[in-house]
Formats: sequence, structure tokens, C-alpha cells
Amino acid sequence: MNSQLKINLIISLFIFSCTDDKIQIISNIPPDLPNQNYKINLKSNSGLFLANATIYWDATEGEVELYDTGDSINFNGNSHTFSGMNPGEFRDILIIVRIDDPPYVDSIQIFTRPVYPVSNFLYEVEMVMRGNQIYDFGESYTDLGNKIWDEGESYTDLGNGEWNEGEAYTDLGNGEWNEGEEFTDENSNGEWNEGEAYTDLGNGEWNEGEEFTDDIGNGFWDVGEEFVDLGNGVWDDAEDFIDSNENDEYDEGEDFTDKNGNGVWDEGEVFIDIKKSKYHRVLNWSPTIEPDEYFSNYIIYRVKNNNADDLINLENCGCEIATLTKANTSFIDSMVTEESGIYAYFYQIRVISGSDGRNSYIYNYTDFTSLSKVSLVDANVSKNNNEFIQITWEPVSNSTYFYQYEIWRSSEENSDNMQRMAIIINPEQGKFMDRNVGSGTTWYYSVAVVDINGNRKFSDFISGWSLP
Amino acid sequence: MVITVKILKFLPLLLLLSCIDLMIQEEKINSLYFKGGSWIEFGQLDSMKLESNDFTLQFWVSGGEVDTNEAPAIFSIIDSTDEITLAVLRDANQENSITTIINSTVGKEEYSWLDWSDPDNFYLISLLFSDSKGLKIYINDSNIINSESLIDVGGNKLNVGAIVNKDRTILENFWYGYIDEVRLWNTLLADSTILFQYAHPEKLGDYYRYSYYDSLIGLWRFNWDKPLYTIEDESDFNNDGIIYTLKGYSVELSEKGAQ
Repeated sequence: MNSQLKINLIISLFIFSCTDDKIQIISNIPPDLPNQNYKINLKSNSGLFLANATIYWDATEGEVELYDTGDSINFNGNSHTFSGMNPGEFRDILIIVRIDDPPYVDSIQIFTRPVYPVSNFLYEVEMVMRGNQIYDFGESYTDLGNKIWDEGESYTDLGNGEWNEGEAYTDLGNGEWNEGEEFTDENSNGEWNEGEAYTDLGNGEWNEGEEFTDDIGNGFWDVGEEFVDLGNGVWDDAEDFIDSNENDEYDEGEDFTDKNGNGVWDEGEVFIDIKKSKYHRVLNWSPTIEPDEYFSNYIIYRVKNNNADDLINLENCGCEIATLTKANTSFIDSMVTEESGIYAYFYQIRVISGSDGRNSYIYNYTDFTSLSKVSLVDANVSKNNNEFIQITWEPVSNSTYFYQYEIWRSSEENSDNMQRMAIIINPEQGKFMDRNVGSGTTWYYSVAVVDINGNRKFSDFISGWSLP
Repeated sequence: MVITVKILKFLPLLLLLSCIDLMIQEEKINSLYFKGGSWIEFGQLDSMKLESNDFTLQFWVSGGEVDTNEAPAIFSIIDSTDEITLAVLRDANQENSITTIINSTVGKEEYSWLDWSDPDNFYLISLLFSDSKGLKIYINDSNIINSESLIDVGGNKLNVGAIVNKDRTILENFWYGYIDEVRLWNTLLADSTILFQYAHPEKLGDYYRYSYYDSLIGLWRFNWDKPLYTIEDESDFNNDGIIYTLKGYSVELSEKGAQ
């Protein structure tokens, strides 16, 4: 170690050894603190479970009475669980403790949580090039021989050891004489007999318009007269034509190119399946946080653009397109591929949990009258209660496009640090009681209304206060 | 090299001496820092008073970080039926408000110039109360409350830093922040005196007069050099207080003070 380094080390030790902040504290615990005066200290685990909520209060020697929306409740101990509730249900509970005169009277709002929906649901349209796997008018094809495979012709077997429709083959002629083919009349009886030589031409038969040699001079082609097969001389499907009157179909007299053979695609002929633009919808979402023991499945619904409102009432929608497991966080809809527009279809994912479910927002759907924000003023947020702050508001007048209310709370005015206290899925609910407020403390509240598109509108933030 | 070896030889001595030197120069303690779960109990006001039922109670205080949603109380006077006769609290979330409880009636007001979030900003809070002449409350030189409420503190204790009743069956709303000084006068101080005190935090009054200071029945300044839980009264009346803490809580000695 060089001397400079040692000196630096010593100086450091010197400094650090004596610059510790010495915090001096006083601690003096009084002996035998008495029990505190009785307080109910009413609490609940509201919002944690789908079907039940438990309330707790401080144990007391006094007589306790519980009322659920006016009905007396039997219970034991200093807690009670309200079971059999529906997801997202709210109830008002009254408690009376008769230990002093007058008795302690308090109330609490209990509620269950809704099923957790998927979040961040969105989809995008993806263009893909696809043929339709069948021959369509206008597609190129290779016209082979008599257009059909015949016994004895070689073929390329694609798997099952015999020729199948569509497999390539070599047409060797049909191996037999057909009417109209040249032949050597060996026994001079004027007609082709078995064993006489012949020339198999074109499709093997005379067609209207083909040149022929009128042997017997009757002005008509007769069986046995020579002819030149020049294609069939009439326009067939797939032949090019000039659409003179632009009615998109061939009409008698319009120019066309006779492509020879019979001019039409036949079963088994190789064709080039033209690829056209098709459209997939790729759906993505973040999975629900619904616990595995409750989660059943996702159901995906799809409606056409002009039926978007059907997603609001899924029972009558008839638009279910897939059922998926929790492992799925995406889905490619390749069932409707013709329309490119992002708004051509609307989708919704429903999380099924137990006997209930919860829809996602309807991504992209905005063609409805948006909900008005909740009007929250000073009178709506209490400042004169012990242990709780109550928020009231006027429920939405039209709940068709309503998704949920959200109660937001902040400890500071105009703060971005907000906490969502509750989700309320009942559009008719107009009250929330916050019992986690302490005493003598100000909190700022907003009631946000969320529509089925996920658009959230906050009310003004209004301060509330609990008495110290 | 030789020098380095010599330094190393005397290193322990150097370190010891250096520390002693710094300890001697240690800053003076000016205030107590309350972080919840702590309070100061004084005697019954009846036993502290002289003849008059007129009192002026003064605090030099500043705020601090709060990690509770119970409003921290600077002090409380609770009667035998557990009703709060007089208390002053701050709001745990609203830094510019002050809450008063006067004969069980709760009130809260906001003041743009008030900021409990700044621990270096000390306020002089003065409460002038009587069982016959009404109540006045000042923050610094501002008279924030001028009420006809009569305050009868007979039989009640003064507790600083919490809402506490006589037998401690109510023990809540602990203070978060600094208390530099507490004064109890057995008279209603003149407005001019309060203005002078605010302008001169280190002084008790604007002139020296024996009769004036005779009414100072409690003076607790916390200008200590070591931790104490008995708070000696620096007036002539030996009205000492005692610091109490709940299990897991403590009060810190601090150099912060009103400037």
C-alpha cells in the first residue's frame, strides 16, 4: 500500500468515525395503561369476495344487534359473514351495541366484488393473402387431354395408391375408336369395324362449325365424314372476351379468344388458385385476475358492425364464436375474412366465473350517446360523520351503455395519486360509504362513470371529512 | 513513509480525540420531534393556576410527515365526562388547515399561508381562554378565532401531543411534528405581546416587568443536552410534565426550532 493511499484511508476513518448522526430518543412507557373506552370500530372485508362479505367489530360485554336492510340477523361472536350475495351487490347493515345509555349505533355498507373482467382488450385487423381452394372463373388452369383421367393412364399418386380427382395424370387418348375418327375400312363395308385403323382427332367428335368433308353431298356432316376439330367454335366460360356492352358477361357476337380444347376447366385439372386479400381479426387481452378456483372459461362474442348493441344483452345475441381457457390471451378470428374495416365487427370477451360472468369493454365501439359525468358537489360528500365519509350521487338516467361506476379517492387535492376504492356495476346505485378514513382527516372523492367502450368520465373531486 | 507509520501508531488516539472534539461542538437541542404514539402529561390546570381562571396557552410548533389517517392533536383538555373542552389538531391530509374542538364542537378552517408539511416552518399558536371572557386563538399574528365560548378547565388536565383524558381511557390522535416550546400563562396576554412574541421567537415579551412574568405558570423549552422524560418547568412554579410513549414509539430530540 503506498503512503498516499494510507493517508487517504486514515483521513476517511477520521471523518466517518465522528460524523454519525446521533439520534437521541426518549421512550417512557406508562405502566398499566387501562383499556380504552369502547368503540365499535366497525370494519368489513367488502369487495374481496364474489358471494360474501364479513363485518367485524370490537368485542363487547354489551348486547349487540345486527340488521340487514331492516331484518334482524342472528350471529355469534364479534363478526358476521353475509353469504349468498350476488357479485357486485351492496347492502346496508345496521349495528346497535347496548353497553351504555344511549347505545352505540353505527352502520356500514357491505358489498361483494364483481367478476374480474379481462383488461387491455383490443384487436387489430391483419391482412393475409389467401386462395379459396376451389377453381374460380378466370383462374388459369392446364387443360390436359380429355380432361379426365382414364384407366391405364399414369398418374402421380398423392397417397392412397389410386388415382383421385385432382391428381396429375398423362392422357394417352382414350384407347378406343370414337365416332368420326378416320379409320381404314378393311372389309369395305363403309363403316368402322372393330380392329380397323383410325385417327383419333381432338375431342374425337365433330362439333358444330367444324370443317368437314361432305362425302355424301347432303350439306350436313354425317358420321364418318372427315372434319377439322378447331375448338368448339363457341365462347365458353374462362375464355377471354371483349365485353362490348360492358354488362360483365359474354354476349353473342362479342369477340373472344377460343382457347381450344373445350375451353372450360374440368374437375381434376390443375389450376392456379388466385390469392386475394383476406382479413383476420387478432384479439389480444390481459388475463382476468379471477382466481383459478372460480374461473370457468372465456367466451368470445362477435357481431357485425350494425348489430353492436347485441353485445349489451348477450343472452339474446347468438353471437358466441369461441370458448377459451385461462391460458389464452389472444385469439385469431379467421372466420370472417372478407371485410377489411376495423369497425366491420365488434367483439366482447366474457369471463365466466361460477354462475356469473363479466363482460369486457367493447373495443372501438363509440357509436352511442356518451354518458354524462356524475355531478358531484360539496353536499354530496359528508363532513359530519364519525368514522366514515359518505358519497351520494344521482344515478345515470339511461343505463343502456353504462358499464360501471368507480369511486376514486385521493389524499391530496389535484393529485395524480388516486386510489380506486370500489367498482359498482349496478347503475341504480347512488351511495358509497368509505369507512377507512380515520378521524379528522380530509379525503378527496370522485365518482367516475365508465361506458361500455371503457371511456371513463370523472366527476369533480370533492373533499370529505370525518370528525376527529 | 516514516510519517505514515507515525500516524498509524497514533491512530486510535487521534480518532478518540477527534470524536470528543465533535461531541463538544454538538448542536444544541431545541425541540422534541413527535412521530405518533407519544404525549406529554401535565398536571390539572386547577393545581397550576394562581387566582385567575384566565389562561393563555402557547406553542411553538411545526409539522412533520404523517403516517396515519388520524388527525394529529397539538394538545387536548378533556373534562371528567370525556367531552373535549379544548383541543387543536392538524389534518393528516390537508396541510393548510387547522381543526379546533371547543366544548365538543368541531370546526375546521383552511389558511393559504399555513403549511404543516414543512418541518422548518414553526408557528406560534396562542389560545387565550377563560370561563368568563370568551376565547381567542392566534396562529402567529393572525387572530383566527374570536369566540364567546367560555372555557372551564376546572379539574381537567393539560395533555400535549395527543387527545388524552384524565385516566387515559381515551388515548388517540397523536402529534406528528416538532414542538419547540410550550408556555402557560395565567392571564390573557395582550394582542401586542403575541405579535411581539411572534416577531421574536427567542423572547417571552416586549419588556421586562415582574408582574407580567409572574403570570407565566409554565415554561417548557426542551433546550436539553440529553434525553429526559421529565420536562422541567422553567418558570418559577415547578409544573413539570412527563413524556409518555406507547410501546414501539419514541420522541426524538431535535435541533430544529423557531427562528
